[in-house]
Amino acid sequence: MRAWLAYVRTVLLARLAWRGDWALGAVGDLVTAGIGLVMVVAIFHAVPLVRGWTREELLVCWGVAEAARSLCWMTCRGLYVANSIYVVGGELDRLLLRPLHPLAQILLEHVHLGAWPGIVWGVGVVWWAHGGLTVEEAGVLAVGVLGGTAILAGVLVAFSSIGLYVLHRGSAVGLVWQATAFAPYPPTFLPWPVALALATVLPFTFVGFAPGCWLLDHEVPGWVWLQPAVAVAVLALGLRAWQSGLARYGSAGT
Amino acid sequence: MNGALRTWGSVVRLGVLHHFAWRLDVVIALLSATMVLVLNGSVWEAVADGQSRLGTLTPVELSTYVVIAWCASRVTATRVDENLGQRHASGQLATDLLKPLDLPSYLLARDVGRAAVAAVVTALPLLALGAWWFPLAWPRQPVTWALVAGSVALGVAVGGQIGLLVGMASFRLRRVTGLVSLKEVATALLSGALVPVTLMPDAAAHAVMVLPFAALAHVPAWLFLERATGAEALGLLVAQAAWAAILAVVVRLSWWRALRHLTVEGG
Repeated sequence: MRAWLAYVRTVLLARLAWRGDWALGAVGDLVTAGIGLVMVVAIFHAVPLVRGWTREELLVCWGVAEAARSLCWMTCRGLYVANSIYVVGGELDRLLLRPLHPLAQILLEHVHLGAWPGIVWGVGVVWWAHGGLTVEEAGVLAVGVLGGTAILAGVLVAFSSIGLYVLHRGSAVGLVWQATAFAPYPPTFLPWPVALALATVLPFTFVGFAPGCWLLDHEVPGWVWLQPAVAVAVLALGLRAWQSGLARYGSAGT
Repeated sequence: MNGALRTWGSVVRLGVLHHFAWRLDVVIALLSATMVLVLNGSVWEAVADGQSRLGTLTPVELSTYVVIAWCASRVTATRVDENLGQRHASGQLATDLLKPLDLPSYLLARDVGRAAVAAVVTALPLLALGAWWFPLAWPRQPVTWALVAGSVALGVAVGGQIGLLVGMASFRLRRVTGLVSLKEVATALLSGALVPVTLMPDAAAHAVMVLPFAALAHVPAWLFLERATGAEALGLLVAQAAWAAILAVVVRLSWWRALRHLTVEGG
């Protein structure tokens, strides 16, 4: 435990040393969150109702997804660079010498506290679009956001583990992250193969749409309640993939 | 002149080779772009479903806009900023400045190589896939293709200059990642690559048209739809070229200024 605390402290101090970049990063995250919002607003600027869904309903789903995305970005940003810095760059060897799990070290070295505005932003939009939240609803929202974060983390960990099997410079994590922007959209917005993929292969429908539905009066499909189970399963699978990838890691020799 | 051409030609070739060296990354970039295109296009298709017009666009024109703007944005999306920021952070910049090549021009020439690869291995397959997946309104006049190609090329020039400006900001900020992500967001929002400019509220659309970002995706898509033809189309290209020229002057001035104040650590 002492080792963990000392480690977290060092990481935070190092992070605060680059204040300019840190502040810009926070602004960047906030504006990034704005892309999805602008898209929803632009859509409903053009038409009042899309396949039976209103702007406010979609904004609730968007807010849940945004809070989960920001929470995941805050904790899992290291996965973005895990491949280029740690595996190809050989830094993983250094981590393996230390008494903490290497995945935990990768995540901690890149903890991104600047992502908090996205969480506030997402929850705020849910609150606004829903017309306030009761205590129970806030609890439901918290469960939905945490479940969504676990799904995102599980998928990202699984994809970043590809770098442990196949050597490549970039990372598929960025690719996956781009698809998360479509987490809030109801499956009926998409052609069925795409909707199915977004519920199974990359189960991001469970990050935004499903937990968002819990808060809506709209008639919703029954499977949206499976989200917590999906979250546990996806996170477990992701960690499993990383662990077995690590067993195959042969070092770059640098 | 011939010698200079050979030199810069070889830099462009270097950009091409560098881009191809990591083949899996080229594949990942294509997959990523394909996924976003299908998702984004599908959402807009759902929005247009049952409507005769969205703003000034018919549903088919909307799909076309979304596909073409996205393809163009893959070619104009530069990585000059990241590259320059990394050179500064690692201290490589010190040795770069000793070389007998002008660094901004060198980075731009390499970016031209990257753009050429992106056009062939990303944009064209995306266009084919988009045409298969979505209904597209093809240009009626052959000259439109030339206009679109010219517009994308000018977009590469504008994008490269913006990238250089962002990269140079790293000399002051010491790190560039934050600003790069900010630029990427601004590009995504303001270029038309994700949200068609014509569907934005009027005031926003007008503002966006004045900014250089429209050169990166909106203008090629607009030309492809033949919404601007003849003198109007040429006017759009001239506006793109003007932005490239203005930004080039700003880049040059900032570069001289930056060199005077530059401190390179390590190396």
